[in-house]
Amino acid sequence: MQKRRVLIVEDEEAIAKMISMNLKVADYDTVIFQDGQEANEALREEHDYDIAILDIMLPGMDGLSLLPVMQSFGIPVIFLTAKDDIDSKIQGLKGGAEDYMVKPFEMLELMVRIDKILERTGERSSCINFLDIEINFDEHSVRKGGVEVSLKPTEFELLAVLAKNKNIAISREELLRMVWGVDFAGETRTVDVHISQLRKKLSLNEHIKTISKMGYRLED
Amino acid sequence: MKLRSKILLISCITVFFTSILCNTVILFLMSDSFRKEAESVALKEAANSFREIKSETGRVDWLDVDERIMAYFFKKEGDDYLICYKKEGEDTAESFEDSEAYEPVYNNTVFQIDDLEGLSYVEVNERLDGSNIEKADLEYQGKYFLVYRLETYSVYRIYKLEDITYVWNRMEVLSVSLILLTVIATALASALLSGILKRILKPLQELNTGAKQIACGQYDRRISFRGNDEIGQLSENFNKMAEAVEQRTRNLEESERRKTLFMGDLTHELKTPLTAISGYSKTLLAVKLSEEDEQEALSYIYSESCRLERLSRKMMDLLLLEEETGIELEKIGAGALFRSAGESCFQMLKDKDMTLECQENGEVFLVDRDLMTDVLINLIDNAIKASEPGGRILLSAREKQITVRDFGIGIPEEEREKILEPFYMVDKSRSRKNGGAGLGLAITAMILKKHNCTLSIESRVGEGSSMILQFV
Repeated sequence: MQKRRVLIVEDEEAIAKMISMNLKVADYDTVIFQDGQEANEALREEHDYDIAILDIMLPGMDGLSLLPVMQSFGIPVIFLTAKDDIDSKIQGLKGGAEDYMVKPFEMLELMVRIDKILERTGERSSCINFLDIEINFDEHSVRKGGVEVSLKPTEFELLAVLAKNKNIAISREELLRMVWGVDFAGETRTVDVHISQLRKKLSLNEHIKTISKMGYRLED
Repeated sequence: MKLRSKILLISCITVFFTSILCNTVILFLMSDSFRKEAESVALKEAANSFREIKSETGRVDWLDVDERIMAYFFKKEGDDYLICYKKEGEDTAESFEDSEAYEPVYNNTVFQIDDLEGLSYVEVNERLDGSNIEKADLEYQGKYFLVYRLETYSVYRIYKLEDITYVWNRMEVLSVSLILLTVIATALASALLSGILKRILKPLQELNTGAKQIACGQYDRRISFRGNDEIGQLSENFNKMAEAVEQRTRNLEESERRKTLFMGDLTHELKTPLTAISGYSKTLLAVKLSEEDEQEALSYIYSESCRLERLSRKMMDLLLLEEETGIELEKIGAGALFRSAGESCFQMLKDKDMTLECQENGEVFLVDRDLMTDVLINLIDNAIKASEPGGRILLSAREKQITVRDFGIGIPEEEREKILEPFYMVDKSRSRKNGGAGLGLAITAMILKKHNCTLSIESRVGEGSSMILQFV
């Protein structure tokens, strides 16, 4: 399967590298530009990106001016900026950006938002493959070594979240929020029970790791 | 109670009582003179009457007098206030002398001899043929009379009653008019005073509303009243006070505004390294990274921490500078200053392969050695960052002037004002890469302010900049 490509335009090198580092482990390809103008020029040559993460205050050419360029190539845009005034937000979103995030930000949140946008824009594939397991979102089915394994709906969702954020630890609280929803008043024990079910049904004992203090991580 | 009402009340009371006192004195004096006048008129009348009687009766034998007197009185009919009594007795001198009883010869009044004799008489200063005229007061049914008595031929007693009620009437009229006068005077005085007070106290009213408005935040309010009296001085001082308050408030607001701005900028400056540090730590904890990535994450955490540390150190410098009140001024030659600054910048210059040229002719400056060296280091640091590798920087001194010249990118005109503000960077990404926090020039400006020294900037984009320190 071809990896999804993410364009990062961010003048703070540390931040850009951090985003890139996290996206790479979750099977994304990333390209970083620290100057708006350079990004603009490079896009003319090469514009095969699934999504772009743009800062607003950039040297060369600011993010709001880059937005139409991105749109002309059909690249969905998430603004990631320190500007948290309402005017910039309105300008960014009205201009056609898919999302607007304010620094400081949580990496996991950025990744979930990227995933949601890709789902909306249809750029996301309907299947995720890892190890000998295939998750098919259209059929809502899971196959291990070609044999279908029957999972409860919540177990399926949990597996999907872990697979989408492969190699990244997600805390029990985050899992509760992402799988069961914000209104769910259950305990983190619920997560542990479902995880053990997944481990048993898909024999993932080795691969769903418990990271102390951080939560669970699916590794391949 | 209003000040105006108070003054008005006191004044009116004063006017009222003064007027009453004056009027009492006037009344007393007038009544005295009225009475004297009336008395003298009455006495004249009485004396005339008596004289007429005398001349009518003449110096004849007293036994014949009776008829003549009678004739006189009848002739003079209508003079109701003339009364004549005669001693009872035989027509002998001896018998008259013994007799104490009188019989009326003529009396057309309601008074009897007993009424008249019961009065206490005093002699008046008028004699008639050796007889004294005597006088007494008589009050009867609201009328006042003066009674004059003359004893003539030792047998007759003639009384003349003079009505002096008119004196009392006149006194009454006088007192009524004086009371009226008092009232009018008081009313007039109060009206006049009220007008004057209104005029005088008007500035007070203005001061009052002015003070109120200032208290409500209208700091540019001033009092227009001018004058040499106390209120005028008060207005003047009030205006001075208002000006001081306005100035102080402006300063406070300005400093408050700048502090808010500074805090906003500081927060922004803190955000980026903090985001990076927390983000990398979280990544290290949560994500399965290759060893290479782990190393990179750690190095970013370290470098961003260093950036925070630099920022906090500069902040400390700024805070200390703001708090410190005095600086130690000493005379230092330009050469020594340039040398110590150059030594500190040696490594930075070497890294970019640049040269520092110094031009001075033994000029001496009165400065704080350490702080002024910091200023020069800051300016040279900026000049190095603005220049291309291999360039040169010119450090020159003249009378009361030091110039740091570079031949780098220059500062656009619209940026020149702003570069002294904390956290301002002409080219943000470039400055950060060079390790700046945007505080250098703000610190420099603060130090220069303490030296009473001004910093002016001459610059052309693409040709470089001159930072000129002008000492007083």
